[in-house]
Amino acid sequence: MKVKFLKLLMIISSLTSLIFLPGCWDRTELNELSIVTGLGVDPGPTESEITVVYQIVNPSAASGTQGVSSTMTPFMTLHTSGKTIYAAIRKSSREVSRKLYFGHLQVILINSELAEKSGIKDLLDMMYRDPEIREDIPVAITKGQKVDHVLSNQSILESNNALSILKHLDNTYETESCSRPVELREIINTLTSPSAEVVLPYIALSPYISKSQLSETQDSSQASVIKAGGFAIFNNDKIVGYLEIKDARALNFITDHIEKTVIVVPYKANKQSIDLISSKTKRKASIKYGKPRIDLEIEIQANVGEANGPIDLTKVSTLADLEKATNRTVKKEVEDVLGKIQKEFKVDAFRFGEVIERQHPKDWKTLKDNWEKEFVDLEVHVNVNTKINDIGMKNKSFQLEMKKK
Amino acid sequence: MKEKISSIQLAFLVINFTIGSALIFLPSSIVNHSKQDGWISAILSSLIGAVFAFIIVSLIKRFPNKNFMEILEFLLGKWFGRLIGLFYSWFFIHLAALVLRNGVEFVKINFMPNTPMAVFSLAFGIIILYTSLSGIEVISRVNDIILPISLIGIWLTIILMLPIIEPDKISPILANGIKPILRGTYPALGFPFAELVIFTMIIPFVNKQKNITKIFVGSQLFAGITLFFIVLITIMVLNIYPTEISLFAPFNVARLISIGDFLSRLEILISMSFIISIGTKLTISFYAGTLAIAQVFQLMDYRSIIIPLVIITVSFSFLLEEDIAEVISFASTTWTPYSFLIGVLIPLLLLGISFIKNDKS
Repeated sequence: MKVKFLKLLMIISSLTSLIFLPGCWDRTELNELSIVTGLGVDPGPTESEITVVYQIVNPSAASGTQGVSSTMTPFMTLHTSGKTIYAAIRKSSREVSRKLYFGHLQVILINSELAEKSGIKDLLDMMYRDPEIREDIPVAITKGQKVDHVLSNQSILESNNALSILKHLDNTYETESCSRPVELREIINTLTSPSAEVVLPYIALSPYISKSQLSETQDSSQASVIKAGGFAIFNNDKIVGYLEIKDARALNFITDHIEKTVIVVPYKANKQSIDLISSKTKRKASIKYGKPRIDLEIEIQANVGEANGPIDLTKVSTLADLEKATNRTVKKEVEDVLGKIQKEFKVDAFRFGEVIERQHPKDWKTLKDNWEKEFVDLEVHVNVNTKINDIGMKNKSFQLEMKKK
Repeated sequence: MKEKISSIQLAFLVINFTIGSALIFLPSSIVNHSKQDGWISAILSSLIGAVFAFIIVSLIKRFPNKNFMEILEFLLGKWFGRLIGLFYSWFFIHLAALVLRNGVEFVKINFMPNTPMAVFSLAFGIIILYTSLSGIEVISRVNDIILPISLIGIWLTIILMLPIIEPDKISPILANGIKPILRGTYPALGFPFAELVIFTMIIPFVNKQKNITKIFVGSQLFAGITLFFIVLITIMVLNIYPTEISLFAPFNVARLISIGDFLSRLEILISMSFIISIGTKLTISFYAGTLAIAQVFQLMDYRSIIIPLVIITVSFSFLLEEDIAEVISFASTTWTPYSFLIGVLIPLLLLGISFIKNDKS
């Protein structure tokens, strides 16, 4: 009797679990979704509104095999306006036939005008709270241009423009380190930190490039490319200024975010290229008579990438001289940007406050309240130490034996 | 008592029970108070938890052939003992309802926002109905299979997080003195360590009582270490403030896993572990609750009250607390003194009484 009852119960429970386990209540069929790859925010048509821009994958065009010429564009960019970002997204139902799905979002773009005037704080909570959007999505600023404009631009190498922006940011970081993808969670982290200020990379569309450089089949909408810029420097949640791409690398040196880069070093009246392969910045804080001081120890490992002029790299002294010249170049670059940020922007974009907090928690308690002023007068010492390991496949420069005329 | 489990099976049950819902909820409840020193609180609380475990197991060991309800009757007299026993039964069922609610909220918020809560509650309800009907032997054997799966999920997540940890997030150590650490330890004591009192109903089933103290305390410490690593990784990856404001902080951590662009979106690992351990915790609490009620009312067979109790537990799970804000505030304020009284103070008192009684006779 009991065995029969248990058997019956087992059958019933396994059958009922069939109803529960597939989660049919929340089913979303793939053909009812439109996958959003890029999300952006522009200023709205009126003061109190914002415009949200989305880039949606066109599945049938994106999956088209190579060689098959497709007349459909692989993505579609559209925008809706609303009082809040969430409301604006819901209004997308008026423009698209499918529900938007943010699980595969690649990049978030914010218009610079919006970030300068009204700040970014009201844009972020929805993205941080929503379970579909991940916290490790990079955020970038579109400087001087509408996100709509930037996202609609067809990239030449990638079929999807949002993906191309993401790869672009990564590539700039990994090969030249003059920009850095900043994740959504890092912004939240920084905004809630008592001292540090947000730094975001910015991008912009280049002016139209000449038609002749493109193959004839491509239409005019493809005729501009996205360019990575430097950093937008924030005070709290508003942009206070921009660090151009030539200065942005120094900021990465200070915050220890250098992957690879090329340092052009003047030596013997010629320009040499030092190929940096790794860099580590140690940040030390010390307090003397209540005054904080930061010591930056930059350790660079590099190779010689290009030796111009009559240079003999077989000599140990030449390499030592090159190392010294590199030290000087990097030190000057870093000190220039330190001065610029401290005197011009006056915001702790380097996270020096956190360095002091971690290393001198007791002194930090008194410094904390007046940190904005302390930062401007903060004493920072830079010490660069370069080690050149390899010189490429040749030792002496061929220019050493060139006919002197 | 016909049913028997081995001491290893008990250890497995203790590990899964202690990790339980703490796997997802412990980091934010600790970090809320002790900030970057949360990991110290995690160690401290599991050490104090070991003392709790020791108290409970010593109490049970003094009465080899009695279970907890019989001990209560023996020490406190027939009627008062039964009254306290009823109080304990309520605690066990209440805990089951709360754990059920936690599990349901997790699935609902993260995966299926549009599904009514009752659907998940019922699904869990069917599981506890079936497992409690089958008895402790079956529960332990199932647990033998699913605990390793759960532990693999947890440890794999911890290992995969190693590339993106930032160790300096936990410094400065002890910046604000010892007080915040103790404040952070406090909620962790009530949840999950004081809840171990439920094993007063389970320990008597173990066939060899010889090494029971070592095994019980040891397995509690193992679970404590696992929870410590979870707290540590969460702080190192998410930083302090995001950990505080995240409802499911370790789940958020797991979402960040990305190794070489292809090994990503592995949060399902930790979700799997969480569902497994929450299922076990729920089952043990409910099973202990039914046993306790059957004992208090001197029923011949505890099975006769399972179906009504399942209905009660499932309805409690969404009637006791109206919304998620209430779930959070109850867990952070009321729960600790409540479970502390039942899980530590009363057992300690009973232990004292048992020594006095022993001296008299």
